[in-house]
Amino acid sequence: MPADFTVRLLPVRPWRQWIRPSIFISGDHWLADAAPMALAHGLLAAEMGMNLQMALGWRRHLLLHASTVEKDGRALLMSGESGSGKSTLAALLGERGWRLMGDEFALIDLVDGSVVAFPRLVSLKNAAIDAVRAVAGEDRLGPLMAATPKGNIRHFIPRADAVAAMDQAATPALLLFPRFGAEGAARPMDGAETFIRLTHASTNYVALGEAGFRALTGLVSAVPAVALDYATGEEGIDMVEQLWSALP
Amino acid sequence: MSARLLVQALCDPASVGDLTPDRWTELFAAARAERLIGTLAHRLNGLPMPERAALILADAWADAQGERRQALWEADRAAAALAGTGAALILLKGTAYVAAGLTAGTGRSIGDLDILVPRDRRGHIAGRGVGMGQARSL
Repeated sequence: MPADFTVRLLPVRPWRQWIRPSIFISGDHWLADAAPMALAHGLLAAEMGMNLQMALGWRRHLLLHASTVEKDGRALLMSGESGSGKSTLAALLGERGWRLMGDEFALIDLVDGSVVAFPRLVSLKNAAIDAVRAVAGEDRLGPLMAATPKGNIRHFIPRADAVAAMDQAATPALLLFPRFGAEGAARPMDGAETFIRLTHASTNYVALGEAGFRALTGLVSAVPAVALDYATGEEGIDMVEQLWSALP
Repeated sequence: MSARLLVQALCDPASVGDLTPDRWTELFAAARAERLIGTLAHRLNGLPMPERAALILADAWADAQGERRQALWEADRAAAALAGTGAALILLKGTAYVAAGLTAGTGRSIGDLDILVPRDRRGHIAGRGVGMGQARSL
């Protein structure tokens, strides 16, 4: 099968293969002003390169910068900036009876509004590494990349059953906008605020035109949204489970 | 990534029948780098190919249609802005090809709107919000 995209990790200058080795993320789609990365962080660069191709090039679904977990055919989407804890919550829920569908992008079907799984390595940062290792063990964690532009990073392998089930889509049932480090609070969000936040969280909403608008308004009108503040991972998990069990 | 492969596919579309999956990937990388993947989608339309290749080209074609629509809309707005200035709207390059229905515009990637206006009207026309990007005298 042809690949959807090509990622190229090339030295910034030819001699930078040997002297302070560093790489520039390139490929079918690339950002001219992206900073080069140390070769020692090459695994992260590869992940960022793949994400970049999806973010800038994918058109078959509406892409939301969100993690997704599934239970009973229904999906929980968690959208937020880097540091919101969306990846960590998804990784932890994936070890507690939920199916991890993805930690970076939620792919929304443009016709039926379902969310399509995109399970790949979860990029864990800083304190999240120990939090996930405590429940999933050492074996599914990759090498430590220290002091990257995003902090300390280890990649985490999703459960094999989550990967095996990647062809099973799910129906979005709840949208959360988590924020780690604040006092616990759950605030329902109205459609207008949810819509605006998701346009910011989407990398291809504008490029998709009318199809993107239909998919996004469909999602927002069908699914309740909650802004979720939480101080610890355990508190976050408990609040998510409570919100989930309160769904109709 | 191979320019030769891309040229071959554009000149002789049926030649893609022999491509291995890796060569398809190379072809798409070259076509994207040269911003010719929309044109390639048009050329290869209807030929037998792997399903994944057909999906990629369908996406590229949809993108090209979006760029075409955007270009024609910008031309329409430029025409409205020039009305009453005495300057005709002279389109150049990509937008001109699609506006005139020329084959060079089919699937073409169009990044911006290039127009030609009389030099002595430039100040007047710029005052109407046209040419807010780069203006260049010939």
